[in-house]
Amino acid sequence: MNVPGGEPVNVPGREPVNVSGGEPVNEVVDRLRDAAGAVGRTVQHVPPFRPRPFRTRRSWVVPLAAAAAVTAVAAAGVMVVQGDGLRDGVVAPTAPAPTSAAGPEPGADPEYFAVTGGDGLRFYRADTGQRAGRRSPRTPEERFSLVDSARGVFYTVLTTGPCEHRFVRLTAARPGEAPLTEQLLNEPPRGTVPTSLAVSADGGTLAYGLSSCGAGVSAVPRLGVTDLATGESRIFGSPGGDEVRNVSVTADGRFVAFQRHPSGRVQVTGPSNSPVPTVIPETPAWSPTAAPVAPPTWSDPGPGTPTVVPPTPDAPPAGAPGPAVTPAPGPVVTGTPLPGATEVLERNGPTAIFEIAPDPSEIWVLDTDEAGDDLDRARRVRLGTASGVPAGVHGARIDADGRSFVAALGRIGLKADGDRLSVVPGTAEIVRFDADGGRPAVLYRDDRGGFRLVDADGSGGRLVVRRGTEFGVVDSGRYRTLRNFPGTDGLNIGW
Amino acid sequence: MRPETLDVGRPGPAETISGLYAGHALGLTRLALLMVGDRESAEDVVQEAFLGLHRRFGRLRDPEKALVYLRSAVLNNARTVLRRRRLPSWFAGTYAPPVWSAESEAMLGDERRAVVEALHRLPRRQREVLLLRFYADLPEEETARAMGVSRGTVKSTTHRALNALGRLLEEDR
Repeated sequence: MNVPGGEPVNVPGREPVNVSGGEPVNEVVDRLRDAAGAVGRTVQHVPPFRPRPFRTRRSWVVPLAAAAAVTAVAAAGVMVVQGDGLRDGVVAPTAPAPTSAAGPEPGADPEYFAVTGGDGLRFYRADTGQRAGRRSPRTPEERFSLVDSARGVFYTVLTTGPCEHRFVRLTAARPGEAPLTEQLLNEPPRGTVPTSLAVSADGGTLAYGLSSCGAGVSAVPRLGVTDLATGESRIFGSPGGDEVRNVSVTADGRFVAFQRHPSGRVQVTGPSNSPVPTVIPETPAWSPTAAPVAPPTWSDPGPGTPTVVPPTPDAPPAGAPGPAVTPAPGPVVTGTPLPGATEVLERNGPTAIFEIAPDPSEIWVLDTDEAGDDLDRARRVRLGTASGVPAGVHGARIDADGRSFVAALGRIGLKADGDRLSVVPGTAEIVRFDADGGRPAVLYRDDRGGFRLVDADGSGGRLVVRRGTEFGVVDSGRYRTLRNFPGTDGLNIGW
Repeated sequence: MRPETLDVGRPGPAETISGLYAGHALGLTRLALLMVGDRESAEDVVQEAFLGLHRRFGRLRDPEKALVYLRSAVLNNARTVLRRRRLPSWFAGTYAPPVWSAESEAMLGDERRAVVEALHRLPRRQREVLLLRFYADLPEEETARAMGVSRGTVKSTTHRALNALGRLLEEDR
């Protein structure tokens, strides 16, 4: 197109469109196409041609012709145009609207990821990181907290008031679109708030940790599992005081893994009483190559089942390396930062260096096929880490097949300089702990600073990590930035 | 988008129109929806266009231009719907909120809704040219034919419309 008044620029897939006054017309056109396409796709079929009398001097002709047309249309069956436009002459039989069980096969490349934050639920393209849509709060009380997805369908927790929460499913009008059509699902038990959320890769099971909220509700940690096909839920409880966090689930939804975090959210230790033994170095001091990663400390109970040790809540397995984190309820050891807590290592005026305390090095696995609602029958797995290896687990999850676990190892150091936050360089690893008793396999390693494992796709092959304000994907031994979210906090990602 | 393949062969009017309906009614309804904002009106607009084609099919000099006729008819009928809405409600009937209204935010999202709202703040001709060029992907020549204007008018209107839409979107940020 040759519109006077500017330099030609390329609109992908079509004639150059001019710009005027330096304005990027391409962006306007792209947004127009996207929005118009979305509106258009709200119509997925049209009614049959329905002639009706109209005022004409030859009115007897029209019903006759129209009737013939109806007959022909009916004979041809209901056909719809594939694609959005008017010029595509290809027709195809009407396809049923996608349902929650439809969508890409487990393990297919995710098309979108979603991020929850203060301004709602935002969707981004997984390949480019571009924003694709947003579901903003409709009332001042509305807030999205957790999100996960399977097969292109997103599940999130919508908070609608004090201690009022609801699971919501968001689907696309059709495959390839950002999911924005929502459906309310079940509510978590009264007086509870979801602390973690995971959906199985087959899209059939929703698993979530629950913590108590509201007055007069006993603080019983719980794990919920909802069959998304039937809507039936099971709640597993424990008299222990630890919260259920980092929930993950196998592809078939049978095994649910979680970690237990001591109650209490964040503990900030000031520089005066923090150990501050060594300033986090500019070069990694905790090289994973300095000492081999210890083999897993659990035995193989047989194929097809998670590799766990029997429940021994009171006595750690013999020979288990690493710090002994007792999973059984009990007082928090003084001086040990709570998981997720921030410990100030150094402070100098507006500059401070923090370290995020690691999660417990244990993961618990619950077989939901077994009867009962006792959370404590979950089997404990120690993710063995020997001294000298990257210290600390920052996110662990069960693999899609239930035969291994994946965890992010390292130390997460953050440097705050005024409003700027940067990651202190250091070794970060993604390690798979397999069932065969062999050495844990390092799936990925770099020295850009510790990160946290926050999610995985249905196959478990693509792992989402967070490093500072950046979300990225580890896939086939390579790291790719998904998107940076500077100046934001409290984000949760799902894909 | 692939080139248009409108192969009507030598069928009679009924078969031709049936084929056109099967192949293009959905796309035209979507276009009409973008023009008028509600699905019921959009379906009526397209039905009227096809009925009009029935009435005039025998008088079409070139039956293969039927699609051009349909596009023009959809534009004209959509203009009629929008004109009626400006009249008292007893004449216009019940007005359904447009699909990009706040009620449909969950379906479209804020950004898309803002774009469509901005599109509808444009003058009618600018709105039409943008939809035909960038939603229906029609080249300038066909856009001109559908709108009943010259190709030069399509060019200049497109330029002005894109600038205006860009300004409106910028104001919304």
